[in-house]
Amino acid sequence: MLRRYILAFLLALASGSGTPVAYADSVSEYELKAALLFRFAQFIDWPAPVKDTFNICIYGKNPFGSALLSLNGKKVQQVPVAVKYPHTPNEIQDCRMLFLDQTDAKRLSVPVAGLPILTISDDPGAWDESVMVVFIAEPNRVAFSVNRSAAQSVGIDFRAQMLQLAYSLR
Amino acid sequence: MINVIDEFMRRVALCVWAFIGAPCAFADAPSDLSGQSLEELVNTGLSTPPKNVTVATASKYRQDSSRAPSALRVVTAEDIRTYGYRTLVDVIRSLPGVYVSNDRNFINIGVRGFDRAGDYNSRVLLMIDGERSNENVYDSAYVDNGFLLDVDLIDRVEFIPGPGSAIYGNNAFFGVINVITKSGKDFNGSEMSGEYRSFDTYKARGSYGKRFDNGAELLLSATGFDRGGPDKLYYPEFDTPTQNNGVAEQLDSDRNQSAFGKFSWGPVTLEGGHNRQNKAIPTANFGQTFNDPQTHIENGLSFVTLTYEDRIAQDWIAHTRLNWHRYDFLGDYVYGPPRTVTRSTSAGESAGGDFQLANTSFSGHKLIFGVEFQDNLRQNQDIFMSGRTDTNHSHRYGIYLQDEYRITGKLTFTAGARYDYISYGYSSANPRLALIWQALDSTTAKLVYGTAFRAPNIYERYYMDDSTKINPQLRQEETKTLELILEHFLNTSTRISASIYRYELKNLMRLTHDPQDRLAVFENQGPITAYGAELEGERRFRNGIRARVSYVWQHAAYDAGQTLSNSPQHQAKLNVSLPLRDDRWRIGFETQYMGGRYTKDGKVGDYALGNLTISGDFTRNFGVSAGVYNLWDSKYADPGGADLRQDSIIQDGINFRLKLSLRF
Repeated sequence: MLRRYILAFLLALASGSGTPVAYADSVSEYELKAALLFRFAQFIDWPAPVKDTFNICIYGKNPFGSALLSLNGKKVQQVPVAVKYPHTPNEIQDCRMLFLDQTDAKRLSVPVAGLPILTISDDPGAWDESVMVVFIAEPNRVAFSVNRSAAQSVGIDFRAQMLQLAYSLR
Repeated sequence: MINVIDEFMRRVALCVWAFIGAPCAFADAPSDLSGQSLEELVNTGLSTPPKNVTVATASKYRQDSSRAPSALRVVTAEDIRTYGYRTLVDVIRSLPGVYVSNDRNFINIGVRGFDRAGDYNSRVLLMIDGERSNENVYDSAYVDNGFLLDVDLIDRVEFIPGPGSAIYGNNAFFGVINVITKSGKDFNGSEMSGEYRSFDTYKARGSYGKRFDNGAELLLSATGFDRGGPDKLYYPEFDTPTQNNGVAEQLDSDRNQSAFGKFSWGPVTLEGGHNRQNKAIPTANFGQTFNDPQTHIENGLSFVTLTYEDRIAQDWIAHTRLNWHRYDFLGDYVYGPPRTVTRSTSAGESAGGDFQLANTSFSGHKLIFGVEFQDNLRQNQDIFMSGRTDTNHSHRYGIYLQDEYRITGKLTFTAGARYDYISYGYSSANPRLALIWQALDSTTAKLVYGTAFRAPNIYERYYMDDSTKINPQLRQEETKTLELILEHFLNTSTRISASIYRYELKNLMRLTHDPQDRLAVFENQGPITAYGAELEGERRFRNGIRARVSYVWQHAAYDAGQTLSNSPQHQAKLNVSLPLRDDRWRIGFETQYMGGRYTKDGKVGDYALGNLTISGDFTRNFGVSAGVYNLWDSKYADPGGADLRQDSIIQDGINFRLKLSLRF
């Protein structure tokens, strides 16, 4: 009986991995996070209007792969989105949204301080560094927590719909 | 048995077919994300298993699962709905390598081959939102309808197999279960839910939840449950004309009422719950008169916790909790002739706190330091048939420290230890060391060494009566574990993992009889060595089909040679769910294979169970769930403990549930 069960197990896996992975519309973790990043922009008020481009910045390691490319050229507040990959603290001045991990959040806490930049991370430790939006990865969903007081201290605020959907709210 | 096997294999074949055939049958791909609202996005299911899940239990703070210093598993509210889980028992038994034994009095959890009848789950730490819920007389943990929470209030369950004493202290011996509750925004209004199940079972729940504009959140919920139980249960051991020919009539009823509330505002959360259960016992355990309608037990649990969690300074996070717990137990046991009803009671009460500081000042390090204290205000137990009560008052504290050190981007080393002191003569220091190597983007390896202890509880240490004596030399149980965990993504949609472990245990306590004076007494047993392997696979399809499969092999034996009772060598589990129409309707199918287990005097055979649930929402305000459990009416039994004349206890056959939920 056991042997048959193991066989079934292997068969199940083999048939699984053998299935062509060519379906057009998949929702992988980072595709969903990219879509959320873009959607957040519509529920957030920044203190000053956007100038030429709405800059979404990824600092350090880019876990999104190509998932963010589709955001280039889409519009937020009538302004086209530009995805940027800054490498130094000086380059982040023009960012509207800044995606980073805990280590970088800590490192950038001084240069970012006071600037109206929405910080976002998917590193659970970033919540403790007062990053404003932190993704919570669940086995089957992506949720997000909002640190409203950290955002308000630089003049950024969230609309009610986004606050209502947040996993945790501080 | 052959029929069962064939039937089971047919089911597995069906699932395998589902794997291959399904992509053709359910080719509706999800729609483009860019047009979706924020609410739709947060409710979108992932078509690939995430590389990391945010977990809170392994280290007492939120971290990525790939950096957690242990193997871990998460069951979500969605799993509970999809697979129609009715109590925490259903959740627990879905976990790889975990099983339950039901003697129709108490449900005992088995982890990695250890399920010791009569330990009342004192070797597993059960928590609600990080708060210990094992009571303080027997250290028992209720997971059936005696559990404090309605299963519908669970947001997720995190399970950490293996020793957890390095961070949680006493009772975190074979594993830690942390039940994380929903919050007000998960309801955002009122919900009424009613259900009917086989065996004349009804359940009703009313909940209200809200997140207010200022960010404060409130959740209130109450549940009533009433199960008539099977009309007749036959026990051949009692098949004599004077004992109703071995038939226990309407003696498996189960009732409970529970309430839960949670209020949070900013960094402060106030939470409390209460549950009261009343259960009849059909088995005439502890040598009672068979088929007497008055035989029953009642238990009550209450708790209140106040937590504060916030950043108090640059690089410093404080996490503080204060708690109060209450427990009471009542058993009416019937003996005769002449017929006498003996009432046995016990009561516990405790107050305590946990003060934890986390620090990130040192680059690459996350340090936590904590002190936990519990004052056991009351630990009372009746002396059976004497009218006297053994009263106790004790305290315990623990000090713990852990450092998570990211040596490089790929290498993390976590070292932690905890010292525990229990005022009636026990103390223990337990370390945990974990080296985690994220070798590739798709591969993680963890090597974990840890120890754990369990001190005798008040009952084991102090209970004595005319037939039971105290063992003043009773020592605490200790275990040492080494585990290697590998996780690998074959491709973005297929995850496989393997875990190999070895346990060494000593001083396991067991109630035995002293041959000289014929008195019952707790003794420490000889050493045990256990080893095993857990294999898991998870695969998701872009059309919404999700499948999880696991196989577990283990062997646990006394060093003297004898294999442990109630310890299955093989276990296998398969969970498949597929969307109907859109993701709002789902079919969930699960099957569990359990190998044979030794009992007191023999063996119970292997078995396979299957459950099928359809759930979904007709409208935004009206949800339904229909499930069939033990689908092919498998006849199976769980081993019985020393209190039973029966060698094993037959379990329920095919049964169903219909549940309706109204939201407004």
